[in-house]
Amino acid sequence: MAHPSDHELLMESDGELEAVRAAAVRRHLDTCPSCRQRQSALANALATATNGYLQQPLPPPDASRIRLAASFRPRRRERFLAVGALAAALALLLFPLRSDRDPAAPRAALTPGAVRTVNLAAMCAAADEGDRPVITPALAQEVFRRYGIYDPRPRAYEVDYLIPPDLGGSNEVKNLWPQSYSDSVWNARVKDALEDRLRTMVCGGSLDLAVAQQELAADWVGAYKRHFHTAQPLPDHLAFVKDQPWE
Amino acid sequence: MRFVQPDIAALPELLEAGTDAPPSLETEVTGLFDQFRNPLFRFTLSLGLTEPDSEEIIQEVFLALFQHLRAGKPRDNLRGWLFQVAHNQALKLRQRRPPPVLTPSPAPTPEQQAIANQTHRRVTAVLAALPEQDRSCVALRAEGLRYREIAQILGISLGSVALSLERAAARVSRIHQP
Repeated sequence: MAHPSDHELLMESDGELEAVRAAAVRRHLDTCPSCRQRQSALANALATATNGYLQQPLPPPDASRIRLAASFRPRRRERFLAVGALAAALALLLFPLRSDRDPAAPRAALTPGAVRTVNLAAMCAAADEGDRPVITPALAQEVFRRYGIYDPRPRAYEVDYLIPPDLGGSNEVKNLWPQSYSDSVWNARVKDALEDRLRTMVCGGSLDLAVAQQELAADWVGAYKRHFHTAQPLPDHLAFVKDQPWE
Repeated sequence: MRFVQPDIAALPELLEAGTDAPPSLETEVTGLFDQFRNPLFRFTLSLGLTEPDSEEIIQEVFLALFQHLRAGKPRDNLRGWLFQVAHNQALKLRQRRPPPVLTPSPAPTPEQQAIANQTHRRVTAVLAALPEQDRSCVALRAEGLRYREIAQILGISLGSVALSLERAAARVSRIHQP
């Protein structure tokens, strides 16, 4: 065969020639000292180039590595922050902060409130206690259990509706919570007074039923303060008794 | 997305990280950074980028790798992928940058003068003077890439790779000649 070209010699040396051609070039090299010398010179020259290239000094990678690792982590934190902020915003929207938070307050997760479909005229025509659904002992126990109260003191609580039935509240466990008479000034009696006020307004046409329900579910203490123009429960209301205590 | 095997090279880091950072994509990418940072840095320098620009490009490349792997995209020949992305990003950056102002080199120190006489110094000068494609072929071959991979990274034919290497070899051979 004719002498292989420089780049064929290079490719053979680098193992880049296809098999048949490579075999032919190798057979030629076996018999041609000058081609062997040429190939050796090419390979040496590229080896020199490779060494020169690989030996160039580089700045240490440490700072760059730290920066890269850090650029992963804040992202993850931002993501959590974003989710956290969204959740917090949503929680605030649905359940505004209570300034007078006490252990007996309804917990949003357990008692978000629930309503049933009601006919406004029928609801208002019914007497206060008219069609009030009965909270069975089993249902009451379930409410206590959910709140981790395993040995409720008799007459200390009212198993209360967050949205009362006479304002369209339902008889579901998520609309019920154990409201203490004594743990806070914002107790069951005070809330009963607010409920009466709201019902009067709804049935008198000055307040939308859905708004009244939302006010109770979102922040009944805030609603009380707004409707009675007071920062503290009125003395009359603290003594107000409407619903029966849990016995 | 495919399951990510923890990189053996990244094991010490995994142990260090403890329970805070489970074996993860981040660990894998950091392991690949340890393996390929210097090769990529040399390559971007050979493309005429400054050291700070090279650092920037390498950050971009590994963030792109992180996203690439997180999206479950192909992970065969990640080395080739890294060089290709580095090449593209370096060319883009060069387009954005104004051409460098050539300033005369400061007078060499006696030490530098001594080194300058060495073959290494002359090789570096020869490489710097090569056409870019030839220099890139030498660089990628030096990093252990096959001609086919080099062709793909640079967007040239297999034959062009061989010719570039042949030209580079011819230039370097002359150093040895008196």
